[in-house]
Amino acid sequence: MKNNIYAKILKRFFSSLLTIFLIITFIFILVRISPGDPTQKYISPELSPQLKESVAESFNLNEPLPLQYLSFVINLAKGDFGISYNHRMPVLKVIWEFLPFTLIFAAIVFIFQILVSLFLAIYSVKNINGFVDKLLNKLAILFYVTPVFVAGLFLVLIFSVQLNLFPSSGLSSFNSYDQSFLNKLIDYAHHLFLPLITLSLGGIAIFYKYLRDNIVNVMQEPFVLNLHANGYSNKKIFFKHILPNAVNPLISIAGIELGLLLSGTLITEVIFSLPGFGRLMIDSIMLRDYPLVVGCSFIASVAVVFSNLAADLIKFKIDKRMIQEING
Amino acid sequence: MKNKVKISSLVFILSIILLLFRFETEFNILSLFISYILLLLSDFRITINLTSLKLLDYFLSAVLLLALPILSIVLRKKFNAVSVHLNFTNISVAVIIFVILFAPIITNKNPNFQKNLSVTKLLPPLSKVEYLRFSNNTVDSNDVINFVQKKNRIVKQEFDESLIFFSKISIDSLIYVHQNNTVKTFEPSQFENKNNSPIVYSKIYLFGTDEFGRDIFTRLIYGTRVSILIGLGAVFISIVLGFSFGALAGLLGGFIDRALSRITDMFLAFPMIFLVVLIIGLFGNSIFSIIIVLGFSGWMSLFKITKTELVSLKNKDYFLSAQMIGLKKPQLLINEILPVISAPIIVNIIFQFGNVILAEAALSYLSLGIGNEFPSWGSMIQSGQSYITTAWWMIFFPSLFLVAALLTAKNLGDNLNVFLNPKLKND
Repeated sequence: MKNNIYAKILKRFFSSLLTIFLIITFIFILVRISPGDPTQKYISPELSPQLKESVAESFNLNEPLPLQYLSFVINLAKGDFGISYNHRMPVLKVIWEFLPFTLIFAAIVFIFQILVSLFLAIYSVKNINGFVDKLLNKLAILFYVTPVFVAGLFLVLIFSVQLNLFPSSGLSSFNSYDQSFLNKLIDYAHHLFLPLITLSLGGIAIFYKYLRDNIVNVMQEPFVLNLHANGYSNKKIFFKHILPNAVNPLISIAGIELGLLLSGTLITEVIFSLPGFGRLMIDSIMLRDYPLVVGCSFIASVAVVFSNLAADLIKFKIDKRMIQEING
Repeated sequence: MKNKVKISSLVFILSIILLLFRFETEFNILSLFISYILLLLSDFRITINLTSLKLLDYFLSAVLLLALPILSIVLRKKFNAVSVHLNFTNISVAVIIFVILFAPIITNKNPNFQKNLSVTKLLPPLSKVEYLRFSNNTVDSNDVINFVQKKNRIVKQEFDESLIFFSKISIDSLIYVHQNNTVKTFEPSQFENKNNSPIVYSKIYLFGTDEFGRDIFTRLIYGTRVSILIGLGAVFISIVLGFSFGALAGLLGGFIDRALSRITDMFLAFPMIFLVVLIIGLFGNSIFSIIIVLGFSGWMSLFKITKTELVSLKNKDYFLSAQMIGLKKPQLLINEILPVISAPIIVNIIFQFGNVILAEAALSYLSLGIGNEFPSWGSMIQSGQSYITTAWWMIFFPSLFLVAALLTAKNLGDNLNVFLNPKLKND
């Protein structure tokens, strides 16, 4: 039985790897057959055609597509995505410069979302069907449908333009490099406040809605009545028995949420002009930086595929009957 | 139950309200329509040459607006089987349909109209602008010329050389037209006048104007058409792809099923917005490429629903017996399969519709949208972003429309889901 489970997990893992490989193959071909010439940016038409040839050769674009793909796969096996046309650095190194910001930012947003929605859900369950509960329910639907860029622009309009409380773009002030560590941290926090709220709103709405409904459902289960009859305190029942049961189904949503977060950071980084992975990806597409596009696609798909895998594994860890979820 | 309203009376009330508010426009277009018909009978070829899609759009909406209240009374009995709750979702669905049908009557401006920028640009909501109209002293009264003049006055064009907007005028023997910093001088006889003093017309910009002096309200009204058109087109492509792939995988199984599932996984594992930006960014953006790409990026959930429903259907008794009787495959599809899978698919389509509108707006925001040729909500928000410090109305109203439309799509999907699966109601 145990071997069977490991085999299934392993099968799912390899199937995920295959999916990622198919994605980057698809992107590779898509990028190559698209109109437009990446060498154009580096060559003026007055220069000799030989120079253009040599640039194309240095970009490895002069060979037929199957040969290009072959060398791409061989390099991929060595963990080499090539050299970015625009940054003149290995692709993974470029990504490594931009990725940490997005990862840290996404992690902060994720934690913030969970904490706020948990707090709100507990509050509205305590005052169930009260005014605040009804208001929060309506607001949750409203914030769920509000696009990230609309929320961001409204926040900028209110807090930056009208009230002048928070900066509307950038990651740090122009004079922050010579300040103490604590001041720098405060400066970052000051700059990241609006992006944080912008990106969190949608996720908070989703988590809040699920948590509230789950808590209400669990509260009506017979075992809660039994605990009450046995004389446990309300607080103990709520935090030790109701909440853990209500949080479990959230994990599957968290996996989906992570994908949303990834596309949300893209828009947020554009609104607030933050130096992150999403902006890097958009820029690489606009500049036709082929190796960087493929590299970014690889990272993005790895994030989504493996977060889904991790969510399924956690679900399985909690509930052993969930084995069918792991099927590749 | 809460207040329920018959569909016929909802339609009747909305069209009467619109008729009352825009009586003059409606009347003008109808009189133009009558002269168009008369001209069509007398001189067929020239009239056909004068006909444009825009003219037909005007005629169609005017005639429909007149016919709708009458129809809703005459066909009352047929409609009365359906009655709707009077809530936000239903009213906004009705309003959206009205906006799409009657756009030329709801606003009497052209979405791309711009003139005298120094006076009309970046006006706040509810501001009033005054203008004069040059008189045309053509005495020649040919039927066709009369018609063309009338048409040019009623069917709004992008450019209208006969108007001049001003911030201030001073009149003595000549007319001095002030446009902020410049002053132009005219003879009084050049304008349409009464007792030798020019007639001053005025326009009210309900939601203000943008950086090119274009009316934001009008652009929103016409933008609704564009956004809904993109949604319909993309969803149609998604349905065709998702349903046919799902049917293939569900009915045939085996290798095709595995291959299609693998492709679906591949598409699902990649954040959709990246893929859409990638394709649009590399292959160029136009209204058609956006419809096609958004359609291609949304078929996965439909595929999954169709496939799983078909696989579970295959083992149901009634399906097996229908097969045994010897029904052919198309008959099976229409009589046995479609009724069962239509409920989840309809709900999914509505949600997909909301997703497409959102994606289009997001693309326009990244300036990869349908461009400046057509007004769309997303592109209006994007152009408003540059003026965020001075003109809040440029992003406020388009965002309001966008969020209201998305909210409507979500609520409609939820309501339909409950309506089509009555079991959910008890939860």
